[in-house]
Amino acid sequence: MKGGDATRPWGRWLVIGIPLVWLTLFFLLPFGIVLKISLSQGALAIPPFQPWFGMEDQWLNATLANFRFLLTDNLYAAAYLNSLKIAAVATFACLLMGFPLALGIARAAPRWQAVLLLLVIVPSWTSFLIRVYAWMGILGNTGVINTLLLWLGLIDQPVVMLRTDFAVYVGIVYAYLPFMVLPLYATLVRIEPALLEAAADLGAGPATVFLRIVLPLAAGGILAGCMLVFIPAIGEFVIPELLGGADTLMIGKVLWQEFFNNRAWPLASAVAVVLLGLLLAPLWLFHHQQARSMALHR
Amino acid sequence: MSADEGFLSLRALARSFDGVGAVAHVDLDVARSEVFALLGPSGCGKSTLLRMLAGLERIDAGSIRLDGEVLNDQPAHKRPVNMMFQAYALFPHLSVADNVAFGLRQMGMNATRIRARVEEMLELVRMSDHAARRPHQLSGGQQQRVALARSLAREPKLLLLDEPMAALDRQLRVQMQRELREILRSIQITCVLVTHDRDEAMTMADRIGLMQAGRLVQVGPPEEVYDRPRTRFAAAFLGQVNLLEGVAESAERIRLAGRLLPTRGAVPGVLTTVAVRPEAIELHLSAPAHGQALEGTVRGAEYMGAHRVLEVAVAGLPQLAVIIAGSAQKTPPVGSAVWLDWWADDAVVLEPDT
Amino acid sequence: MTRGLSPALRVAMIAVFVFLYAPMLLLVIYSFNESRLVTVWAGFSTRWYGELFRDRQMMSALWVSLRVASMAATTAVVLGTLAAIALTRLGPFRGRGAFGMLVTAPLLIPEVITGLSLLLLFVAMGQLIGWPAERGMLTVWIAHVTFATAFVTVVVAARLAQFDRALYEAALDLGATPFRAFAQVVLPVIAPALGAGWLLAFTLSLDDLVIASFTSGPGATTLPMVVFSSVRLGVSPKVNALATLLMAFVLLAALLSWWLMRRRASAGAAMVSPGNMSRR
Repeated sequence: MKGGDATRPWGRWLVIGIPLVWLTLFFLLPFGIVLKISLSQGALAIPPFQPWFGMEDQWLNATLANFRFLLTDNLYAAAYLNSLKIAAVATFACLLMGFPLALGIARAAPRWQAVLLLLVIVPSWTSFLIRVYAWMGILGNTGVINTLLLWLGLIDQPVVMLRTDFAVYVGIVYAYLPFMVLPLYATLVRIEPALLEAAADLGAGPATVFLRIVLPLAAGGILAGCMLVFIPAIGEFVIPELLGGADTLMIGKVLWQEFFNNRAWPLASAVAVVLLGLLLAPLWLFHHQQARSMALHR
Repeated sequence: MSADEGFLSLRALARSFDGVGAVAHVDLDVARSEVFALLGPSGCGKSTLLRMLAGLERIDAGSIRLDGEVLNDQPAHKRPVNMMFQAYALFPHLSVADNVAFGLRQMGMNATRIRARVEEMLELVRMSDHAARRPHQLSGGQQQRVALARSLAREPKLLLLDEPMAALDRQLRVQMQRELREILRSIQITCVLVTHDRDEAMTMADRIGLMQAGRLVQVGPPEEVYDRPRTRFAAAFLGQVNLLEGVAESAERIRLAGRLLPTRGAVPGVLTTVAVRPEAIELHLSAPAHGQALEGTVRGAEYMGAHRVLEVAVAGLPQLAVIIAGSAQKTPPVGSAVWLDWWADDAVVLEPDT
Repeated sequence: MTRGLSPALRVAMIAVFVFLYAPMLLLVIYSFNESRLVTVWAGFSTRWYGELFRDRQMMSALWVSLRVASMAATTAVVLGTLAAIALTRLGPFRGRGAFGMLVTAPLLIPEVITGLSLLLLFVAMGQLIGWPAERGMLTVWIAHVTFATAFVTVVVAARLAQFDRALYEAALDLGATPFRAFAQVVLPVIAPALGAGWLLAFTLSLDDLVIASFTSGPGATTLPMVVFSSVRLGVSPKVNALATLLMAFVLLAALLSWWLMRRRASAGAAMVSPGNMSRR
């Protein structure tokens, strides 16, 4: 739309300014403070770090010690890598489950599409915490699955599933599946059936049609869905805490423990800074893709 | 110029988007109670010009004066100007009556007067029975009437119509054009309408302003713009036309395919284009006595109901279209030889396109 | 390709839906189990519902959560709507791209980071200007508004992008000031999206554990914090009962929105409005 009605500029600046001020104050500024504290020394005080306001020599207090510590203790590197691995595997599992579902919804009769989509979304309206918790009763040694398998005589010892990486995968897939399905559906439903018919008419078999036509056209939705699962999964805390074992290293859990259990605020801040750094690339990728699809469908 | 003639006057009005002129240096005067049509292809700047009148588009340069008052710096909501939007823009959450009352409420009019005015307006557009309906319960033609009532309710000094018939199907258009024209005449309102449909412009307007690339290329009553187009663009946009190029022998004669055909106001010795409407061409089945008719061969005939369009090939000229009335018996068969000529007034000398 | 699904696709879809709904169904079943243990079915009972309602800590946490969530949702709708207008309706302005990133970034930033950074901000502000003096409902409210605004912005911006600008211009043309045009025409038309945004923000706030844990203080324990501490150690029948009530509530809301959607759809089919025609 060619812009420019005669709206007064102050109204315009109020509309932009109010959310801008709020987000700058409560979203942007806090990141600066995290960065600042990640550079300060821990202390046995309340709050537990060296003060840095009102000190003339404040920058002398700046230290890279926290970051150096992250490097020296293998725990942190392992936690970062493991988070990336778990998030990547879970994202892939989400894609494998979400794609047929999204495809099925996109090809269902139009009057069913809304209902099926609602069915996908409704679980995400119920409490995230409770949905994760539900798996504790299913995967536990005395849980539904083990009870069933024991009763059927298929096993004579409970299979340990709860408090393992496996349970974490199940939890992530379960909690984040709708975020994968929605963008996939949005792109798949836009693919004209005539395109697939044309491909078949030109001699392409079903597999070729899928690989050469459907997948490339759905690439944007696949990327968006994967990022919507991958990015938050990396920093996930509730799922590894409730479903994972003591040895399930995920960086969100590490940050929580440093902060709440060890009261190591500067170290927790350093963990957050590095985590944010790791996320920059996928965040940029997601934004880039969104901007592109907005431009395409405008 | 009397005050009535320059009731609405635009001077050197301009607006550009990203350096591209959408409206470039437009001068125009519209008289009180006149219905003026801005006609042009899409993208010619006519909608932008209309939106500038409404106050919905910024003015880069020039001035808009209405009834002696400069409108330039008045925001849309303060102008004594109302617009009927292209797809009507009826408020979906309000009833027909509330849509019409909307503008009156903004004026702070009291409820009794609003009710009376709404009734009067709905009466005018014959929608009184539908006052309580919502817009989506109305047909396209009914929506248009409500939109008209809404934009007339505030008694604007100037009414703007943006493609008033674009949202209607062909059948309904002719009827609504007539209805709308009668209402506009009956209340004597000054109106500027925008359209890309030449028939709409010609049936509705007192005068037409033909726009091309942000400029007004010709302004005049419909007959004048149709009969005496100034440029190739004007000639072609208003209807089917034969554009013929030849050297003028005198002010009244142009040489075409070796013959001297009549025209007016040509400059002797200059390569000149004349525009001849297909219905202005006279067709002879044998050579006329004066010996200066174009001789050609019928290449095809298109049956159009009330008339036929013949395609006639003349050596050295582009194929000509000739409209003839009458029955099939009088139509010369394909392949037969025919002779064409016209009256001097019907071959209009064109200016080069700008 | 014809519409109509292949059998393999049907089976896959059903399997995924079973995966999505079976765990919740099990929670409902076990909430009516007399026994404390998950494995043993000791008969039908509503005992745990009684215990849930008698649980003072849970009930007061629920009250805190409901108050915080409704305040946060209301504020987030205001901020999110303003941000959505800025993004979709004001045309280009300098820094618009950065503004868009800033508004939507909280959608994807891990909660642990958002929570930590807000807590550090509140501590710093407390030291520097003495406000907020202590953490509690106020700080949780601010934190929830901050991340819920992003979600509201997305929902409202999607609706505003479809909003026919001519409606707003018609209001201006009919003498409404820009503010009145917004209040009397734009707001009523986009009201369903604002309602959806409010509900989403409310749900998010009611559901949040991580950010609340960081930014809350004594006396402002939210429901998820109580639930979390009680399930951390294992399955709790009271939580099953709570989950069942929550799901019943959501199911009702879902049915309601489905019904509204159907009504809207049939109204839409009857529409002959040319409002969706392209403009020039």
